[in-house]
Amino acid sequence: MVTASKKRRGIEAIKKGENRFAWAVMAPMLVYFTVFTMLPVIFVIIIGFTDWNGFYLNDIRFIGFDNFTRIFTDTRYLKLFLNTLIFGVSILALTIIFGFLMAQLMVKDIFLKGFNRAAWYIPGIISFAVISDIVANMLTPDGILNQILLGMGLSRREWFGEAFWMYFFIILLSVWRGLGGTMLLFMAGLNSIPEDLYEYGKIEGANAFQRLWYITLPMIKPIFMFNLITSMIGMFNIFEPIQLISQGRPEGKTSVLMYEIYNKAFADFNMGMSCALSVLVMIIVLVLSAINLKYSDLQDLK
Amino acid sequence: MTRTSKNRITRKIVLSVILFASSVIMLYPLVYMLLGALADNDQMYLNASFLPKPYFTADRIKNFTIVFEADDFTQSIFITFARIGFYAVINVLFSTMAGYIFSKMEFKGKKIVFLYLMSSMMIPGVAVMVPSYILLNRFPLVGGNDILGAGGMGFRDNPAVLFVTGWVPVYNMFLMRQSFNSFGSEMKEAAMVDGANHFLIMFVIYMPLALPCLAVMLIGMVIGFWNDYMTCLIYLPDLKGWHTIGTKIIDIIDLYGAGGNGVPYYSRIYGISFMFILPPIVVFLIFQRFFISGLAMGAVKG
Repeated sequence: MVTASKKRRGIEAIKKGENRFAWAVMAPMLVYFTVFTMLPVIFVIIIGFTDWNGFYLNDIRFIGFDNFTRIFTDTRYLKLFLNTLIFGVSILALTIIFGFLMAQLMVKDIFLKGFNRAAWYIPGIISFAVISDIVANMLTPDGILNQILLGMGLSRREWFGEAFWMYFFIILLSVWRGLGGTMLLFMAGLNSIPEDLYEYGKIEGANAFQRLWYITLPMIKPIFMFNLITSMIGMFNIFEPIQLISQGRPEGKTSVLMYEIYNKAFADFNMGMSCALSVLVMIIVLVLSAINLKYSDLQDLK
Repeated sequence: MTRTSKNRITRKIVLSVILFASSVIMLYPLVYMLLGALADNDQMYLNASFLPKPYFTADRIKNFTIVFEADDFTQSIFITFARIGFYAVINVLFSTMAGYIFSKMEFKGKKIVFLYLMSSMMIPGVAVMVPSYILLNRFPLVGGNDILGAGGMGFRDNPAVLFVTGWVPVYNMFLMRQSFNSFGSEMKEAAMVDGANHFLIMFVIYMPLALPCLAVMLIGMVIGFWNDYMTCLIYLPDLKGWHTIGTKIIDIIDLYGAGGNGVPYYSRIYGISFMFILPPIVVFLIFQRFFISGLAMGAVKG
């Protein structure tokens, strides 16, 4: 009896110590986190309802939903959403489709597997800004790309003047960078499917397409969703190629949300409008993240 | 028997060749860059082609080494390394502590604290870019600001901004918690009986077990900070001497890459860019194994 109660008291003391220790470590982190991570979220919502220029605090003037009504009535702003969507969906579709197809081939027994994997992933770790800057230099009217065209007997083009080509190059660069990561994630998913399932499938007489449809796809659904949603969230992050290559040219046809958020804040000093756009991006991404949470590993959090 | 194995080998070779070709396409831009840096600039421009003719002479080396002559280059590299080192320490310390506490300790409010921290993973960086800037720009008692945050510049054009944000690495904390979850509590209990304190247990006993996880975190972090373009662009617009290399390199490329008559000096652009993208590629190739397992860690349960 005596030892049992002593032991219990000992456990309680340890628990109490743990509680105190954990809070002593977590409390400063929580304060810091609240200020630097959570406060901006509150700021962005408040400032979205003002026409503040970001300089003097007594200039803050609340204008209700004016910023938001302007966004939803002005075609210039609506076009930002459309442009972002065009970039996002094209990049998303190309990376997911090619990433999945390549992963199917890459998991097979082949020579130089490590080399191939590295070659596909390396573009993703290169600075997007530098690649964009190089391409911007290649596309100038007297640039090397026009020089190559002339050498081939074709006529030179105004790359920056044609929306199609701006989209083409920015999408091409983004897909080039993103493919490797997407492919590796799919490979990890494909490798985790037990080989027996395919054996059973073959015994049952399933053809290659049926095996893909009834075995592979259901088995990698979580990774598929993860890839899909992270890429969808990522599509709001397109900035460097717009800033360094197109700058919205021609006539704002390639301007996207993040570029406009940046420009409104740091070139036009219209923090209010910039924050209003940010709020809309946040709402969209929160919805996408909620879907993601349902399908990915993060459901552990619950 | 021999026939099927022969077929299998033929198929393996064909597939390997196809995939090798795909890898060559992925790496082509880098090959082009390297060949272009080794080419004679005028010749490359006048007889422009998709495969510039390289010359392996001593003066070609200049296209690569000219980056070292740029103003502030050494300082920029030094600041970048200081930043990487600083955040490496912060990341290892704080994510180990938080990961251990969430995985192996009990305290009141643990679930709520955890959810509060993790909820920030859903906040897109784009949406808080501007309010974070406002927070740091109006930070009380910094850079001439008064207690209300008015009057000065805060952290804008203040080099300290490179070191004050991101001290609570939520995603890394989550990864470390996952990693610690896969090790039992027996070691902790045994160590506590022997009278070890919590710091000793988490850093000496548990942290070494999570080395692969830490490696993934650190490699991603190093490459991220090396390539970081936005931070200096937004926070240090008038303090170019303090720009980290990811932002600085664009200025260097534009400075040495500006040729006469609106024709860029391509071989310099390619050479400088190649020098800049080399370190992340080398880091990646050395630590590839960790990197790829880490990529999967985010998406696959394990």
